[in-house]
Amino acid sequence: MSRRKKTIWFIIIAILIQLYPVSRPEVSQDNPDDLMKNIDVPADISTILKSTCYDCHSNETYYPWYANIAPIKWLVYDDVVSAREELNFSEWNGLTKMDMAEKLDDISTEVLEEEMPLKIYPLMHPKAKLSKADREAISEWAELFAEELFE
Amino acid sequence: MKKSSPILALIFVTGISYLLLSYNEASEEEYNTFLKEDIIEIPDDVHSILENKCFECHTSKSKGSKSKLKLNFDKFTNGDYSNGKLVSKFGKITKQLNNNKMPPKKYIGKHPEKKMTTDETKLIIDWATEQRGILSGE
Repeated sequence: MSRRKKTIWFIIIAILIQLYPVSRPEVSQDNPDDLMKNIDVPADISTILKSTCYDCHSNETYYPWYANIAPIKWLVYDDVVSAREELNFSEWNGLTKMDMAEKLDDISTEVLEEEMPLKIYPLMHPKAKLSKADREAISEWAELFAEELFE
Repeated sequence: MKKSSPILALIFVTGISYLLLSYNEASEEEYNTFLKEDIIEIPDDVHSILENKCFECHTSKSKGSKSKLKLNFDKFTNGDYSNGKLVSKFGKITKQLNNNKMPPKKYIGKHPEKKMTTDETKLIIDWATEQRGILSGE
């Protein structure tokens, strides 16, 4: 196959895969049960949560242009769906205290152990790169919050 | 195929990173330890199951860092876990056992004697559920 033909084929396939239907997780800015609306979160913590977690773990997802192009959108949409299932800060107040304790436990461990944010995320969002101090601050906040729930 | 290689590379790299990120190593440790019953009350029957089936990976002396970070039975009794943390751990124990996630299949493959019987699982779940109820006051 000539180079020209290959290029044309590539373009056709690139366009065709765009047609494969996948639904984009919806975005809403109006979330009365949101963590920040119900709990007094220290400013430094809320800044980190908003910039590094909320894109996937809330209903306030911001999709950059490239996130809407296949094959990237297949990964992004799927990640957002499973992230929200696991932990959705926009629906925080709907959780029981027992569930909150478990979520906070996970937040503390996974952020400290660098399991979260997923390694691929800061590659595309350099602002979401957490320092060791950031991670410790998040972990400490989560631990204290969980403790206060059962005082 | 020169022109298409950046996109192919992108698909490849995203695919590989996805696989790498979702891969979790199962750990096996050869250490045992004993619990002191200070804070959380552990009945003898529960204790002996924990000791036989769980302590190898889930105490401070266990080798792998991941399993004991997620659940460390020493911290139940030495006061290291706050009530909030304990509520979480009891909840997670119940969920993991209900979903047949623990002990891990890989581990049981190598150590068939570590498999928990239905009765043992039920005993632990009942204990964890009861403790969580007491701690959370719900």
